[in-house]
Amino acid sequence: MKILLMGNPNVGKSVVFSRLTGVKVIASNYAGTTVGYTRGSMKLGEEEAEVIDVPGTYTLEPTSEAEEIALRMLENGDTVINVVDATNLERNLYLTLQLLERNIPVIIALNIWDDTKHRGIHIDLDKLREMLGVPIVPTVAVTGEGIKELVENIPGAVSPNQSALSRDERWTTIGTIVGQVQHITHRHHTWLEYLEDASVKPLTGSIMALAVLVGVFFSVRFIGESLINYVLDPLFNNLWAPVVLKLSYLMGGGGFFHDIIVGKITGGEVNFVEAFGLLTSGLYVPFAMVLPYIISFYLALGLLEDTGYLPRLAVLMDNIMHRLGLHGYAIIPTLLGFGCNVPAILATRILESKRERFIAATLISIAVPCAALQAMIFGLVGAQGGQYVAIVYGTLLVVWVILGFILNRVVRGFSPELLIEIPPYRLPPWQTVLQKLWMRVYGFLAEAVPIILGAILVINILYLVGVFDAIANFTAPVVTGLLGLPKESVTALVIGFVRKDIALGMLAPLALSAKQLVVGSVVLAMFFPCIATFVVFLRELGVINMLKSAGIMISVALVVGGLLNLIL
Amino acid sequence: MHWFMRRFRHRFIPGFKFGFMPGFSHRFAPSGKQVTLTQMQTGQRGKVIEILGGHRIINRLSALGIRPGQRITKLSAMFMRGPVTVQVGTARVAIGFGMANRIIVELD
Repeated sequence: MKILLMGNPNVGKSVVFSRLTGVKVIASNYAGTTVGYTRGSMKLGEEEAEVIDVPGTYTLEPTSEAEEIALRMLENGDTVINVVDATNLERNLYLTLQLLERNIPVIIALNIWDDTKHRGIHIDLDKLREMLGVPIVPTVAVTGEGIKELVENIPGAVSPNQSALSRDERWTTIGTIVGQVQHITHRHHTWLEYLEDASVKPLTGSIMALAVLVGVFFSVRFIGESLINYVLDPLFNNLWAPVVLKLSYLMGGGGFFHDIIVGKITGGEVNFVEAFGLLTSGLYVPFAMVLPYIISFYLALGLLEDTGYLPRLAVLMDNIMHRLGLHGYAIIPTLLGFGCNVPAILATRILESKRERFIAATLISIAVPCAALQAMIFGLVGAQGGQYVAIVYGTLLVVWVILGFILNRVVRGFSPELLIEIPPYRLPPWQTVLQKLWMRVYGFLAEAVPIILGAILVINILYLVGVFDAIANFTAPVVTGLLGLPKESVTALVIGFVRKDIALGMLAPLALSAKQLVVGSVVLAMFFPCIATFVVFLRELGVINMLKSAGIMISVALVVGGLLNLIL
Repeated sequence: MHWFMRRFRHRFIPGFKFGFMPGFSHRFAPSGKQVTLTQMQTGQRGKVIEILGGHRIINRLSALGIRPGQRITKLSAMFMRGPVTVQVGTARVAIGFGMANRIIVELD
């Protein structure tokens, strides 16, 4: 049996899904969090039922990629749980009516039920059940209230087989239903609602946006730095270093296996960044350099997502984004890209046109460094002085703007206008924030650590075999002549295809000047996406677009790198 | 006065001057209490009368609750032809400038 969870965007389908199946999925407070579908299973009596979390859609006439996925899913489902936002009954019922016209059993979960009380909305449940002819269960998915009743009522889902109506007829029917079952009493604005209004007004909104972004940047740095300085560095230096030294001694202080496992150790001290062995850099880079920033970045992003601030930022940024051939909502994939480019490129599905998706994905791959790379930039470039970090970020920002401006002129197609729902502000329970953080941190550890260890192993072997020397000599004119980097640093650019954090780490033992580090970081950020991003880009936008985008990346990286080399 | 209106009509009819909003706004000349959503003042209330646009735009707007007969309140407008935010029913919706320019509202 296949159960589909369907409903308007941002009504809590993903939270209901987690509650039903125990499978944890990312849920946020903005329309379009789920762009693919997630499967899970649940026990339904004796039977095992498959539950599918479908992307949100307002109607069954799709306007974006995510909504098309929703429609395709409907073709082969057995039962629909229609999740309805109880505080937005009228608009939500349109999809409900469309579902009732299909020949598929439906049950309604009237979610966000708790909010109706303090918003002064009264809904006559019995009457609504009678008028729609399907079971309705009020739920509060975030707390789990009503989920048990929902599960008990799933076998009772029915298809009333309504005759198909036209759009206007549906709205008339909805008008009648809402008029009879819903009753709204007036009440005063809460402070959150005042804040809601202020955040989309030009002046107050801009001030708030600036405060939020500056606040996020500094708290991410503060938390990340504190974790490194007070927790992870002491752990590595005081507890792990003696173990490594002992091991190095036992392995004879050198040789093939020693260099792979422990790395290069000089002067009886372990330099975790430069040693480049599996047990030194292989652990230090992911755990002590990148992980702290993954934690602090995703904590801040999770809070932004769950409070419902991001769509408001989209409204504020709409103007600027139009100049880049996008509209305001593209700021959401862009911000996700500062964590990891993979979910960011997936999230471009919330944009309607192919042109927008191409521009957004290209800009993200080129000018938005992921958290892992940023952590390394803070660690390595930051050690030379804060101004160099500023140059790296400033360059990327300028490239983002200019390249977007050019792409807007050059890429054919149309960019539609912004049309989004602005969710109410919600104060997220800290359990959900921490749970989401844990999912993302776990995702990083599970994916990045094995790849980093594998990369270090392969790099060491290739070094010893001499492959890298051959590449370095071959590309020396470009790397040395144009970018002003030592020819060995080409290996870092090659490894950047695997993971960018470890690639930047490879520049550490080369004793680069601050200027060379800046050029290296910028080129590495822009040159080519890592393999995971590459695969997603290819899948989402096709071979031809990927090739075009790759051409742009390589040429822009070389031009900008060359310019930086000349200017600095 | 005719020459005056012809010369300066871009001052009165939003979107007239700019190429990226083809053809719709000048079809609508404001009369009496009917204005486009972009001409409405922040805080004003009214009723949607008409949406000047193709099938696709009408469908997308109506899915978000913006369709003829609905009562809406303008909450804000971003400067430099930015999006307009409105309250419709219990929901808030942000609409790009060009699209907002095609929504005709009768003021209360």
